[in-house]
Amino acid sequence: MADTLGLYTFKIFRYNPDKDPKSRYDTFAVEVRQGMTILDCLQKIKGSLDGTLSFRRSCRSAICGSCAMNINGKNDLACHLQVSRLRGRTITINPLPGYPLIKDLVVDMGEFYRHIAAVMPWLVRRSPCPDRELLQFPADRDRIDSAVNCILCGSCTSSCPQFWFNPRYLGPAALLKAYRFIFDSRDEGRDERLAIVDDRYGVWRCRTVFNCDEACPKKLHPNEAIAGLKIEALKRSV
Amino acid sequence: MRSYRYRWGEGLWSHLFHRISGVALIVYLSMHIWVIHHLQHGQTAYDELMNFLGNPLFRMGEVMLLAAILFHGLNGLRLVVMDAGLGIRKQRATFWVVFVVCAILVLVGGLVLLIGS
Repeated sequence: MADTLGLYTFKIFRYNPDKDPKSRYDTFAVEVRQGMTILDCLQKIKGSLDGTLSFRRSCRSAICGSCAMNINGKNDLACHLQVSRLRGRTITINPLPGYPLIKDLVVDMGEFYRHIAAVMPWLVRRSPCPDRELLQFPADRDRIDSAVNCILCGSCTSSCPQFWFNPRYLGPAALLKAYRFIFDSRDEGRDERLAIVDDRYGVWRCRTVFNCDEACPKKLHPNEAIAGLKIEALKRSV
Repeated sequence: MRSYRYRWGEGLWSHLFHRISGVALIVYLSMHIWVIHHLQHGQTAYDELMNFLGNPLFRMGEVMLLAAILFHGLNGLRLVVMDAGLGIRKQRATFWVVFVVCAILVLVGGLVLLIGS
């Protein structure tokens, strides 16, 4: 068939804590057609080669962030990445680094969500609620535009070596979320949030490795947000 | 159990070189203080030590010291600029600029240090 890309080898990380003393890689040969994503291939493997393979997926539209995993060494969304975009005929898939493993490609995102919750990811209002929606100038919206698009897939925080060595570090996703509200012209919880991120486990733990910027499947720039927060934290202390 | 497998990019290499060069500079400063303290034992003791430090191993060490100073300094400036929010999207390119400038200066400086001595 003209739209066939050929046979690809998938080398997939396997670990079942109930059975396996240590992790291993299983390899699967998959016939790939043009347009197939990594998730399509994983579904094919689970459906016809090994039903015990575990991985998360949901929307298949790069919106929910469930299928984030480490593909050929880089974090990405399995539903968004087409096989044809990868070099070579062997594709290695690992779980997201840095998070505790549950089984195969499924990791425990608890730490990640706790860090997001720690920066109060909601609009804080002290003033009385208006009778209509809160308006915002386009220029004010532009300032937080990219940060609003975060889908909480966890790819950025998982790629950060500072988070690997110290899981107490809030990580780029939580800091991006803090930026999204601190720089929102409608928000009134700025000082409270800045006090949370202006901490040794907040913005000052970032070592500008830039893995987060490169890992983000939505092409966001957590490092720019962190730099913006560092400047605000400095202004706050002088 | 957690996985820590990740592809190394320019940012991680820059991070690693920055820390290694930083540790190398601390080691050098400690050695430098140790060498200088020999002055209090008189000129002969100091001259003997300087004579010993003139061997090729330490001459190569000086070239490596130059590399550590240049990379740590230039990459430090790169990080300060990016901490100010500038050039973050060009981090890969700026890493290579720092790397190439360092390589050229170490080559030139190394020749001066080795041949000049």
